[in-house]
Amino acid sequence: MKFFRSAGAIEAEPSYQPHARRGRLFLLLSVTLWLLIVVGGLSALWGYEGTPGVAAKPPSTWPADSQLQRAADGDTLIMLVHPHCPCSRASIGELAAIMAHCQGRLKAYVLFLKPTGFSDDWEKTDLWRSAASIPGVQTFVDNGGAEARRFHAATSGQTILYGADGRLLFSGGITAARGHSGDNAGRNAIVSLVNAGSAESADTAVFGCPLFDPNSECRKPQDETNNF
Amino acid sequence: MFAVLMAIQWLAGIAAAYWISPRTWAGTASQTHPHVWAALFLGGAISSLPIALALTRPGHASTRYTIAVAQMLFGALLIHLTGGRIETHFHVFGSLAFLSFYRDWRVLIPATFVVAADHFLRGLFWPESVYGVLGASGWRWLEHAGWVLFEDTFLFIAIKRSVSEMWNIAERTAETKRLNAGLEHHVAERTAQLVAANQKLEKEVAERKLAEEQLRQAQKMEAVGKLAGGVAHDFNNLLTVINGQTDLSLRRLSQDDPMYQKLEAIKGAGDQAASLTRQLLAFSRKQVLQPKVLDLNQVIFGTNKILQRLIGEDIDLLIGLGPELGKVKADPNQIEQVLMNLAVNARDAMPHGGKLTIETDNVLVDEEYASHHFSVHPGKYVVLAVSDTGCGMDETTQSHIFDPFFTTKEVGKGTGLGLSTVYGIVKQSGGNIWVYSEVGKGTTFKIYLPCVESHAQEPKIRAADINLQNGTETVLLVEDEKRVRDMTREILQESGYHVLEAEHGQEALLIADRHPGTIHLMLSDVVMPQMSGRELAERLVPLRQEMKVLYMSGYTDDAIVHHGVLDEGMSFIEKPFTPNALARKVREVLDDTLCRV
Repeated sequence: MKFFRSAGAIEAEPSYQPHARRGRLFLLLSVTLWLLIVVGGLSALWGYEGTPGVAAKPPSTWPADSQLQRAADGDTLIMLVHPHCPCSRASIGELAAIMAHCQGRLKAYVLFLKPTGFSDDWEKTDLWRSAASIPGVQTFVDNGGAEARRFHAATSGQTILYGADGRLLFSGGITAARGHSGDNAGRNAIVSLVNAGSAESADTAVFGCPLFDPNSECRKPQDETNNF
Repeated sequence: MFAVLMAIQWLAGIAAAYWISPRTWAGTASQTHPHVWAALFLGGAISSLPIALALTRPGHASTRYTIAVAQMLFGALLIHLTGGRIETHFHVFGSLAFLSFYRDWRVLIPATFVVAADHFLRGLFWPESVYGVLGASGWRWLEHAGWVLFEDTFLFIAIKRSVSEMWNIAERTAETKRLNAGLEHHVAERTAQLVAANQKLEKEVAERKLAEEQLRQAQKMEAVGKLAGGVAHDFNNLLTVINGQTDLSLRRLSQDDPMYQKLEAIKGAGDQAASLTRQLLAFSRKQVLQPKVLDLNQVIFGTNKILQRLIGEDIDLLIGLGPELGKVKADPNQIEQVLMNLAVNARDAMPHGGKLTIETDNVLVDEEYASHHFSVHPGKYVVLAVSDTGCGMDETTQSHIFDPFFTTKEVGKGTGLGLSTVYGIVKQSGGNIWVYSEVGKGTTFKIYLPCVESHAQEPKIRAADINLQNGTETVLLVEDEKRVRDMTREILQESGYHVLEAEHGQEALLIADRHPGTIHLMLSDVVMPQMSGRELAERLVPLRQEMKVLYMSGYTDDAIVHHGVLDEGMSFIEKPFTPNALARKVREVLDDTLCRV
């Protein structure tokens, strides 16, 4: 005995009666509405992801009042991070990639903002630990955001690169979107600048949480002309 | 299953969002991260329709395609929620494998399309979000879609094989079920056959038991018959002498003689003894029947007065004679005996009165009826039904009523031979007898006698009605028992006959040879040593063709009877006989022109 699969028993819609047509129409409308909602929601999410924060306009030369020690024989990278910004986790990850690609030719500081009045360990988050674990990276607490202000940074993840001579080489973010890991223009530019001395772009959009309160004066980028 | 998995996936997305990015910060201020809301609401929106369709329209292609699209869209959401981690991209490949559980390769098409479209559109409008560079090639989406298609290829093969195996299993299962069903049917069929065979066997066993019971009964009857026959010969000879001599003595005495009463008592006892012997021979079917073609209605009509006297006035006798009743071949005297025995039985069953109904009718016994009743042959029958409204019998009693010496009557009232005599007569006449009885309601005996096509013979004038006629003819008397011979000679001589006397066959032949005159009748015993009466007749009649033959016997073997039925045209008188009976019989035979050996 040979069994065969009866055509349409599983695949076809069961009926073409009027009420079945109404059901199909309802289904079609439901799917359409659903797709609109979902696509709209995803678009909104993408919009949020792709909306950069306030970009810094750091000093064109290493600020003399900075408490950080600039590398005399190489480039120096400063990343300013809000310790509780989940978006900056991707930036830390990209920094690790940069450090790996630069093979010791780069000195990096990650400054974690600590507003006044918060507990001692407020800044010691997983971001701190992640950053501290990257070879060649030094982490510091930026009490009250003093260093951030010196470098005119306003968004977590803001990355600034100075050359050995103290000139500003790069400023921007090292993620392609908010909290998004992966290839991005900023990372490529830094790696290229450190390793080859030049890059296609010297500034990129930065994606992250604001470092300062919305009404803070620090949110407004310094109207200072970069000279790079 | 997919509805549950979609719901779990949604909850997992919320948990992941809350774990990875619970809050977003702006300086010292924070609020719930948009990713958490996206996981909650957008994830819920993505999951809602497929869950609803999976619950309300399971198995529909549209449901599967919707789930496929939703699964890939959820992958896109999860990738965003985890910050585009490369590990989360494996959700896409996992989802394709997950969708392959449908075993429908077509489901992979919309899923692959969603992935390809996502990369194409984002590469077109926002390449950095998917490729990390601003100036990615317009065809780079094909690289991503290619890897998805790569997995699709294997999933397609796996699905086709899975479906093929599934159908093979389904076919095997169906085949197994079909075989099982066939096996069950076969088992049921065989069981039914076994049940039928068992029933047939039980029926055969029951029939065999019945046959064995009947055989045992027949053997018992045969044994009793042999015993009765064995004693009947000598016993009847003795009774012949006792009764005959008593009768002769009574003739010679005045009723005032003191010896008369005593002789009367002896004769009464002798008659009872003779009756008992007759009944013994009757139920053991060893009596000599002289069947005639009868109309049972006439027999009943002729006996109704006797029957009425027999049953008394307390019992109403109702007679229903069937019209155009068929003829039967039976001994009328025996049929009368049957009627009287049944009537006596009915009377005893109705001590306080009742109704005795005698009916006759024609019946046709067909093959089916005959096949279900032992010793019944299909054909036309005349049924004689004798019913009473007496006390009836239970089944145990019914099973023994035809046994000899079985009686429910008190001691001294019944011999236990009445119904066994009836049974013997009926069976000897080729008929059957059935009894139907209910305790407290009554009993019906139905006697079936086979129909014959001949015309009824006119009943001969009863011996009692014949005037005693003496004769002067010569009678050759052959009897080995001297006392019987002497008494018989005396009766014949008293009736005027000239008697030639022989002790056995050889002597009879000698006397016949020497006797110069005519020998009109040979009156011979049947059972004699050396030469039976039949052999003697066969040798003597050719020599004396004018000689008629009358046999007398208390018990006959097959010399002159066949299965108890006297040969046609043969004359016979049963011992013990009275002087008058012998005189009448001799006269009757001498006057009969058709008498043969």
